[in-house]
Amino acid sequence: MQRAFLFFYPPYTGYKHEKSEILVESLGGVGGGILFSVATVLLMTTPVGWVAALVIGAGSVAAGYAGSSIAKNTYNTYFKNTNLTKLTGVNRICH
Amino acid sequence: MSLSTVFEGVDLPGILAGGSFVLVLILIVILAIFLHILHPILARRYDHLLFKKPWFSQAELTLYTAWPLNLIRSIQYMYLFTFPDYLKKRRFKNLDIEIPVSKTTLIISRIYMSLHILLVLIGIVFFVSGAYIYFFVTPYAE
Repeated sequence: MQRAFLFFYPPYTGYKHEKSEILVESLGGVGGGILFSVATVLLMTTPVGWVAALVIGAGSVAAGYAGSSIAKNTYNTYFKNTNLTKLTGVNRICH
Repeated sequence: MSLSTVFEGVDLPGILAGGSFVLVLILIVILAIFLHILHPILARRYDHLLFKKPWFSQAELTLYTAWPLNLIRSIQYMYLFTFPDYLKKRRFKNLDIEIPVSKTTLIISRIYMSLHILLVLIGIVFFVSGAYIYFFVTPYAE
């Protein structure tokens, strides 16, 4: 079992590191999207039409992508040795 | 594992990006809970006064009836209570009727709006410091 595990997940990258990366990426994506919408609500001081609503939707997707890649890059640059799944307790739910 | 060991040996952009990321996530959860508690109360009190044609367009009247966009409606009301002079020049033009706002509602909307603006500012810090790391800090050696 242990050998098979090591075969599929080579020791360098590390299964744990990948799990933390996925966690940070998804949280960054959600956070970036919400941040964009939270900022636009403050700017929506005049009635919004359909075109502006579509622009806001596309922008929040772009902000979500930017947030996820920024969060992943920050994690990989500075916090690579931290096991975030263990720190947040996610590893108790998702093995 | 404590917070000090996580941030050990991390320079300023890393502290800014990592710290603001954690703060953003915490604030989003707090604001979401806050808003979901406040929304039914504000909707019951102010929808018949403020959620109308001249101040909201027809598209908005359709869009803001269902979750999650209906929360924008509540945010606009609290925005109006917190910055009445500014909003009466922009969205709520010619608002001649007297809106009954109790002292508690006013304080709660001020707390909400300050947290909201704080979230936006911390988000800007996250994006700027994160983009700086993305483009200018050399990645770890493999």
